[in-house]
Parts: sequence; structure tokens; C-alpha cells
Amino acid sequence: MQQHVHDRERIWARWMRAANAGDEIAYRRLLEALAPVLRQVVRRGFTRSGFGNCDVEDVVQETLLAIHLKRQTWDENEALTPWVTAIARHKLIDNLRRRGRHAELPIDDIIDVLPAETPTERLSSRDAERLLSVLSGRQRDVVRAISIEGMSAREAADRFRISEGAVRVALHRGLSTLAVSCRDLDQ
Amino acid sequence: MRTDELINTLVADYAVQPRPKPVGHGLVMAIIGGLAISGALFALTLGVRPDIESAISTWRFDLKLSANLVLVIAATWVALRLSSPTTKPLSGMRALLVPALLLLAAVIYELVTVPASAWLSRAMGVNGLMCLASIIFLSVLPLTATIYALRQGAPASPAVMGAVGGLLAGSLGATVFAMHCTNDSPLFVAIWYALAIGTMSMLGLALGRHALRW
Repeated sequence: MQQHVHDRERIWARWMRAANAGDEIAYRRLLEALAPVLRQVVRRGFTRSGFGNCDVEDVVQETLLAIHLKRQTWDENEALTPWVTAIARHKLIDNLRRRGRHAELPIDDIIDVLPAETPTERLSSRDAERLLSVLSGRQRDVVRAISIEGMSAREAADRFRISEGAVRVALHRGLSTLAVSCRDLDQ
Repeated sequence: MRTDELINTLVADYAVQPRPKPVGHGLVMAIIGGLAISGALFALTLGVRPDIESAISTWRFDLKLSANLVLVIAATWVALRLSSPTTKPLSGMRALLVPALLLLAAVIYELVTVPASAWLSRAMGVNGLMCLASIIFLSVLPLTATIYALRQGAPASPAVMGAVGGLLAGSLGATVFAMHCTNDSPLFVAIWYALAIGTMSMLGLALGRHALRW
């Protein structure tokens, strides 16, 4: 077990470096490996702060989104897990503040935590349409097609009769908008 | 949206630009762009002082210019550090002491070498309020550009990051204005320039609190 935990930093940092070099499979692997560990970290954080597990999956998703949108702030010469932990902590504190908790919250370093399995039921307390409701027009159409319907950028371009480049721009802008408006949904 | 659906979406977006530009790239662009726009506004309105050639060879003018430039460099360095989520909000702030101590040393030297009867007129200069307003005027666009560039970062404290962005923008505006201003006494700089740059920092703090949240 100790061995496994020590390998985590090494393997994840290698995936992230590979992702920076253009390896899409490594990037997917990293996000898929991070999700269950983040779930456990966030669940513990909520328990510690006296809340139930109400918004665990929301915070996991906000953290993954932030990791994605802020990946340029990770320095390849530094360890990856403290960086991921700092982002998860920021997102958890942000969520607790929205509930009126102004606690400085120590969370576990993700390097020490066992992954939590994915529950089978729909996890997010917000339903998909509600989350997408902060987007409008083209951005909502594109994000919905790619995330929920699982389309590729090419297929989405064909459906909406726009260029693939326009799909990619709408997707990226849509994700950036989601990242900043998540908090407003709860208020 | 389920988490696996989100991951699919993030990977699809990743493919567009696997490696986004580092924060420093955008920040340097903002500094260059901000200086260019401020410089153009400056040329159209205030213009360089007529005695610039003789001023360059005086230590007071050189110090005024270099203290501002040192602040530009220190604030850039601190802002870049703060853009990582692992950096503590107040870490690296000591770098900002370098320009402050430089100016303090000059102030002490001025107080020692200039008779006390001249202190007040040196400190008040020709028109301090005009200097204050001009620096703020020349710093507004650099502040916009700087905050925009810093949005790529993930600061532990958006407010502190905004305040440092304000220092950076204020020192850019002050550097440009220093080419016009004929008040070179460190006493004047320590009051009016500091006041203007401090105002920009407060503006940056207020702006960053919202614009730099992530």
C-alpha cells in the first residue's frame, strides 16, 4: 500500500507531463485517476466541517474543471499532488463559504487518500439541464452535445452546421463560463 | 452531468490546445501592451519634459525612474508566484521592499543634504494633485490588461493578486509619467507617486476580488 501511494505522485506527474506534450490518452488517464481520489478527499472535508455528503460530486466536478482550465499554473519541476490538493481545497472552501462557513479547512493531501468508488446513481445534485442553464445559445448546444450526448467536435459541427473550429471555441468558452457560474447557481 | 461525461468533455477541450500558454506569457504581453497604450496616450496629452536631456544626468531623475522600474519587476515577479494555487497569499512580498527601501534611502539622503526650510516645497512640488491624477489616468489601461492576463492564474487569494496587479499597473503608469514630471525630489516621489500607485493597488484589490475568482 505504501508503495502504491508513493508511486502515485510519480505516475500522475508523468501523465501530466505527457499531457503537456500532447498525449491525450495520458490526460484522460490522469483525470480518471484523480476523480475517485478527489471524491474521497472532498467527502472527508465535508464530514469534517459538519456537513453531510450533499455536494460532494459538485465539488469534485468543479475541481476537475479548475484543474483543466488552470493546468498552465502547474510547473513541471514541482510535485503534482500538492498542486491538485491546493485546487481541491480552494473549491471545497468556496463551496463551504456559500453555505456561510468561513472556516480555514485542512484537507488531506490527495497523495494519502484511497480512491472512493463511483456510485452508480446520478451523482450530481444539480441535474444536467440546470448546470447547462447558465450557458446560452450555441455554447449550451455544443457543451450538451459533447458532454451528455458524447458527440465528437466533428459530429457537433455537422449537426449545428458550423465549422469544427467554431465548435471548439464554443466548447472552451462554455467550460470557462461554467467554471465561474457554478457558484452563482447555489445562491 | 455525470463526472465521466465531464471528463469526456474536458478531454475534448484539451485537444484544442493541449498546452495553454503560461501565465507569464500573457502578463508580459499585458505589460508591453499597457506600456504602448499608456505611452501613446502620454505622447498625445502630456509629452516628455523639455529638459529631458539634462534631467537624465541628474541622480534624482535616475532614481525616480529606476525605483519605478524596480517596482515593475518586483510586482511582476510576485504576481507570477501568486498565480499558482500552491503559493501562500503573502509569500514573496519581501521583493516589494526592494523598491521601497531604495526610495527610503533616497528620502533620507535628501533630508540630510537639503536644508529643512526647503523640505516642504520639495515635497509639494509644482502640482502634486496633477501628478496623482496623471499617474492614475496612465495606469487604468495597464490595470485592465494586467487583470485580464492574471485571469489565467489560480491565486489562493484573488484580492491579494489583484492588489499586486494594481501595484504593477501603477508602477507602469508612474514610469511613463516620470518622463513628463519635473518634480524629481525623492520627497515628492515618496508622497505623490506612492499615493498614486497605492490608489491603483486598492483599485486592483477591489477589481481582483471579483475578476480573479476562479
